[in-house]
Amino acid sequence: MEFKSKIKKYVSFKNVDLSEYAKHLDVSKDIINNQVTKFLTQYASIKEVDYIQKRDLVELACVSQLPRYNKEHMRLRVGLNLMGKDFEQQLIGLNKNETVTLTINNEDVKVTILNIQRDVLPELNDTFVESCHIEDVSTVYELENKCLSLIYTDELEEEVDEAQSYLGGVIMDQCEFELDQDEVNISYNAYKESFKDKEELSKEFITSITISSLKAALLGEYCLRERNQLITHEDYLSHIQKMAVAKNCSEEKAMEEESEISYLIDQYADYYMTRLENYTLTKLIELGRDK
Amino acid sequence: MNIKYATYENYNELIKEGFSIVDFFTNTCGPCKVFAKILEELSLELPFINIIKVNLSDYPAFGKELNIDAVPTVLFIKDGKEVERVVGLMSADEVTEKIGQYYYE
Repeated sequence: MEFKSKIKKYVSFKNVDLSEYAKHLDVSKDIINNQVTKFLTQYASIKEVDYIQKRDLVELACVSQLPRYNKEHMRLRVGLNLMGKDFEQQLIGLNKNETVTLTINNEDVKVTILNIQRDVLPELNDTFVESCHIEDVSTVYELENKCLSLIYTDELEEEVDEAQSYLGGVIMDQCEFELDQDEVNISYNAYKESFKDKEELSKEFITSITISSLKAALLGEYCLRERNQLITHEDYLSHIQKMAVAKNCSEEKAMEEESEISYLIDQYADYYMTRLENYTLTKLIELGRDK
Repeated sequence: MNIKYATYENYNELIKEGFSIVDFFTNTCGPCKVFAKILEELSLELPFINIIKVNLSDYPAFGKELNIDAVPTVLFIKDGKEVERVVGLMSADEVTEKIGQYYYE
């Protein structure tokens, strides 16, 4: 299903200057490398190697009077120290198929190294970053900022709120929309129903939210269309199935409660606002690093 | 990543062998999203640990059956048997401590 409402003129949020909202950030190279490494780990390939280094995944067999170190087969990531720092430190440098006797808490632990696997991180360059298909990220620098966003979320919360409000306002003003009255009415009635316990809210307020939501939904649909990721009728039906189970009602009843247009408005608007928030945070980090 | 989403039908099968961390969450729970990131990183660090997620927005009755009153709730399960449950958000260090305590026992 597609909206009857349309965007007549689209303006990208990337064209809006947010430098006024950025605050200076001190970001060390170590912090950046640490965050990027965490990101790259999900793309790592695994190779089997002959000797143990820190961070290798090791399979081993242990024989000992200590119950914790008496295992026919176990796996560990060397350096996390889940089997004890002393034990894991002594594994470093050992070879595959080697059997050694280590001393832990004055007890002997006979260790046989069964297998050693090492993560091989991909080479980090713009081509690789592009291939990851992360929204609004196509260079190493942008990826660094995206990775940093995970640790700066709380610190920049206030700045992001202000910048996002500003950004959203500019976009709503500069884009041009043609809204279908039926869709406006459906959205208005859905909001009116959800606010039915809040009698103090005026018709004007609900109308304002309705219009903003529908516009945000149109912008979200526009963006997802570019990525060939539109929400389908099957997505709606799947949502209705889950809703019916959760509310213990029939699927027909669930559809009466939430029409497909309502669902689309909700999903697309939510997508666009989330994307705006994520972009704003990453952009403020970029601007903060450059300040 | 070694993260599986359980259904009511396959839950017992997923937890019956090995060491599992079961994360009960809902779609609207903020701390659950924070914990999801922690589990994603953990799954990369320790791919041999089963990480199982149960969405109580999809299976609310299942949560009641297992006496899950709040989210996030995390169950630590060894060979199908629950060894500990923690209600509320855990830090990465707290989770790895539990792994050290139960997986390597």
